[in-house]
Amino acid sequence: MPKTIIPFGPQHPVLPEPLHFSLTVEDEIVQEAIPGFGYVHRGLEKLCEIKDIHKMIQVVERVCGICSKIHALCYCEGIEQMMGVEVPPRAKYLRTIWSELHRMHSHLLWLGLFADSFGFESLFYHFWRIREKILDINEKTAGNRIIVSVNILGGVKRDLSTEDQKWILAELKEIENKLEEVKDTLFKDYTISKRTKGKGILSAEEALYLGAVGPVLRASGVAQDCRQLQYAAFSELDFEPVIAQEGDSFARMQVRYFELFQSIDLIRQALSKIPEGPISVKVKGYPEGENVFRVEQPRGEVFYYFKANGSKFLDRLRIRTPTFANVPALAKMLTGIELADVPVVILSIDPCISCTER
Amino acid sequence: MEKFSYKIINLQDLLTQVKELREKKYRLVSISCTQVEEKFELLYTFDLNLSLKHLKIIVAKDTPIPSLTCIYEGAFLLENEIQDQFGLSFAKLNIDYKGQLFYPEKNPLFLKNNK
Repeated sequence: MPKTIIPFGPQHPVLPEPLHFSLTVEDEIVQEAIPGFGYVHRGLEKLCEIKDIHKMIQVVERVCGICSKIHALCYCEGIEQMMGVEVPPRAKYLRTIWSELHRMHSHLLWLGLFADSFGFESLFYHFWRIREKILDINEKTAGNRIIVSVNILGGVKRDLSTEDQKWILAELKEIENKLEEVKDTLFKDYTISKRTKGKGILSAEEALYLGAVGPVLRASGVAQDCRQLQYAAFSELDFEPVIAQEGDSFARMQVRYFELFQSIDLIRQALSKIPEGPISVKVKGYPEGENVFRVEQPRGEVFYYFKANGSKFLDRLRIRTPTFANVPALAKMLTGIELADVPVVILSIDPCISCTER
Repeated sequence: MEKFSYKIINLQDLLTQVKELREKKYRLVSISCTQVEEKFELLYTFDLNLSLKHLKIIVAKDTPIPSLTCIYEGAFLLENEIQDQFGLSFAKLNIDYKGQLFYPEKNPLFLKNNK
């Protein structure tokens, strides 16, 4: 059978953002997958040369809409560490709560898109209906539904009132019940199992070797989660990384689904322990030297590198996003699978091209 | 959180040192490039059980840098991005986009005093 090269993307019904793969196919089996980019590149890191360290928060929030809050968290904690700024405890808790809300809305968005990728429209709408509740919380507490701009150097710029906290807890209970309702469908439905089990398998060794991160890594049995590094208020909260062993598309779905319950638990813990006090401190001066910082985004570890010279502009800001790290692993997953499974397997890593191209 | 420190190594020792890290099961996290006057600093970051290790090399613009893709296959995206942004070149890259990973034409956007 002769080899055929099939262009997949950049526009494809299953892709929310433009990504290209050159798929070398022989007898309907993918032999090689070469990724192609360059459709939404912006060069945002370069803006650190003309936007001061405070204005850069708004820039990094726009690296990716879906994990905007967590980009800003990573940026702020990295700069604060360089400058020796001690953030008030209440601000650390507030950062944690909004981060976990962000993880939930991202995972719910993905679960809907994933259901859509194998044609399960009603499940897609169900997850997006649940997600609306998180977006309502974001809007009420942070002023925006998606770009949650709450971080500043030295803390946060918004607080949660006692009424807000009670309302969030009530909404989380309802979200938890709604998620339980779909559990049987998600894990016992014949079609979902047929389309996802054994598709795009990545072993633990391959995942580490290829640099995979986040749910992709954990679904291959590696219990690694950057929240274990104890940034924000995670040092005071109890949690264990959610893992699965099979390393296939089903396992990646399983990890994200159970991480939703983990996030609910973390928000409840944070709300039960949140101390009273100020939500920010004034930051004077500018950073100098080099630093790295990493946090756990919904798609996995995001890594920031800073180089500063004591002026209001950074010399260099480099952002290695989770999808960028997961693309080599994705190319491996695609090799050896049937052409018909390619869309589902691509979706299974939760690709964010906006992040990847920055 | 971990404190940041790095080890400066010679360009010719890069592959040997990275091979040792690979044998110890380190994961390649990132390669971060910065231009300092006419030279370029490349910071290689590796992780083992959430503990980071950094190696730094300093190179001139025309010096070919050995690609890590013979040790870490997935390094090709990190190295191609540096080729795109700074106009540096990596030797023996497994997939070489030749400075056109993100841009349709060669355009090292991050190169200072780019003439």
